Amino acid sequence: MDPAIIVHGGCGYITPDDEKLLKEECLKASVIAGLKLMEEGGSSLDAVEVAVTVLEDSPLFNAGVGSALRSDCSVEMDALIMHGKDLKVGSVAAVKGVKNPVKLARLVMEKSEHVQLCGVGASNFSQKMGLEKVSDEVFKTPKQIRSLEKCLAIKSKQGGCDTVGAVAIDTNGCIACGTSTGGIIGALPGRVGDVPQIGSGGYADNSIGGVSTTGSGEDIARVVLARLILFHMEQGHTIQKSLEKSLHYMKEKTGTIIGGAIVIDKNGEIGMDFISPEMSWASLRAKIHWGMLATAKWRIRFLKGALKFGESRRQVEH
Amino acid sequence: MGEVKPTILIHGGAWAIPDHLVKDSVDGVKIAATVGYSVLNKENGTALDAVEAAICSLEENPAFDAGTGAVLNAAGDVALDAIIMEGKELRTGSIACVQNIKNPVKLARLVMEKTDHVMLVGQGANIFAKEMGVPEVPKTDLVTPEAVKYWEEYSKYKEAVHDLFNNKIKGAQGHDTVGAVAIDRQGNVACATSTGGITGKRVGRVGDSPLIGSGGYCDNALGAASTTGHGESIMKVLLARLVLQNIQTGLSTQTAAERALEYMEQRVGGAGGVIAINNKGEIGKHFTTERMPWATISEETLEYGIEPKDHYRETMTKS
Repeated sequence: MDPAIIVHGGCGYITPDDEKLLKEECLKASVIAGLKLMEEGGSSLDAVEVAVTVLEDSPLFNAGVGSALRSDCSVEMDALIMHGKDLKVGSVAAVKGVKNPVKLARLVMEKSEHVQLCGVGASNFSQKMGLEKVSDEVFKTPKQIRSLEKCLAIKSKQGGCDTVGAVAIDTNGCIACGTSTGGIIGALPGRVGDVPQIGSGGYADNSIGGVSTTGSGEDIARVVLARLILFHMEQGHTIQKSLEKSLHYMKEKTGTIIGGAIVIDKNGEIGMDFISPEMSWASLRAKIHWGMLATAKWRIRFLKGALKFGESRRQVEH
Repeated sequence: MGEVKPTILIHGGAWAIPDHLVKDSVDGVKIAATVGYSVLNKENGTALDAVEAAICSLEENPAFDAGTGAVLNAAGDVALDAIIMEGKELRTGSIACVQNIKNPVKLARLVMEKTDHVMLVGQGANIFAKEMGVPEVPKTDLVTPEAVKYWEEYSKYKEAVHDLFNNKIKGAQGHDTVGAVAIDRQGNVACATSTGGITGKRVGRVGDSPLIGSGGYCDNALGAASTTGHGESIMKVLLARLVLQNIQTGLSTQTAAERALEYMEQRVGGAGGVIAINNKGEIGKHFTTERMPWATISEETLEYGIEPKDHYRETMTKS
């Protein structure tokens, strides 16, 4: 099996022009780091962890550094990591002071008897595991501070759904997924969205595939989106059809148009789709592809080799 | 919608319930079913109100690991999880690791109805409770001598229990989650699940109960399910959502429940129990642990049991 990886940088947020190139570079760095690890013999679990870490460390995305702020101006983060072989999974919810929540999620999976830790318990566990405790200030960016001020001033519904995520398949055909977020702007402290809810923010099962989602967290959770996509694939639908059916269902039931997902199936096929105006993503298997902005058109640019440009989001060539 | 008979189904936890707790467990689920059914059977009775009332009854019953009677975490504290969901619009609310609240399911409902969120955890959840005027009760109100006894044994034999977690008999640990599913006259389904978790769980541990699709799920198009058992296994297979997926593929509610538990055992080695109801009001209940107390009422008939082969029936007397 050729290892492959796909990452997303979230949807529900229109990237300003001056950030587009920076985001693209970061997404590319993320997939390159993940694929390199797998080509050196690492597992898909290692790959998604490193890919998500690259995105968490970038202030451009709403995860780790750059996380959205809660209504009391604090930072609380959620993350999930899952391995498709034995359905091993770890997640953290509303955790503070941990620079890379996806690393902590993996430690929950591998070093505890549990699947999810939240709040103070999660932070205590991270220190026990030797992860450095960092202050909220490390995560706060001027952009997010401005966004919160705006949100509180106009008492608007919270927004900004820039979760990051990754799905990978390694040479053994093992699939893993990871998702990480700071949540929505102005959320109540203690609010947990879809990300750490297994089956909503992500799911991985070697017999079907792996998914990471992004969008309106509450609405994703209500339809258990990641698992729904995989249910359709189990019924024999293509990745694309499964994504369309699931996202359309979520829109119908909840009214949201903020949603997207990335997928790799058990045969190593890659797919993505979104019903929001934009979702930034990148995928890599021998050739790198990246895409953003799908209103009327999107761009596919290749690092090496081939050569097709597409106007439709369905034309993902590898 | 055709004539749906209002129906409620309750469980009081799937685990190796010791003999001395059998009577209280069976009595407790029967009472909860009766409480829930009396709400359901009113002219405008809703499934959502019914499951909330039934779960409150179980939370206030010290025989069960939910609310009063909840087991203690590693720090010797009570940390409670709950979820409630309705099947018409898929609205849901859940809370996890909340302390010193008498009825976690009520707080979960407030999350659903008074916030834009679906889940609140830890200190944030307790702050929200205070803002909603939900009284905080002293820990001693919720802690029972039984819970303390389990915690002391756990603390003494911590290493042995750790092995117990990781061995194949994952259902061996106490699993006294409580749950309810119901369907009302309008054909609306609802589910709710509530728990104190497992003895000695790490501070901040969130099990399956409050996670959407794991501890419970419902959808008017399919039905409702509530689960109990080894939480970590339930989460890995998304047991409640899996039961409904099985119903979607055409299986009866009973077979859907059985297949889901078989899958959990095969795939991740976990034991547990499921109660479910489809959108026609047909129930299913199954467990792979030694015992699971359950009770159901429909058309003035109460059925209940606790052992695998139990099926007792009583006609409800009109008072």
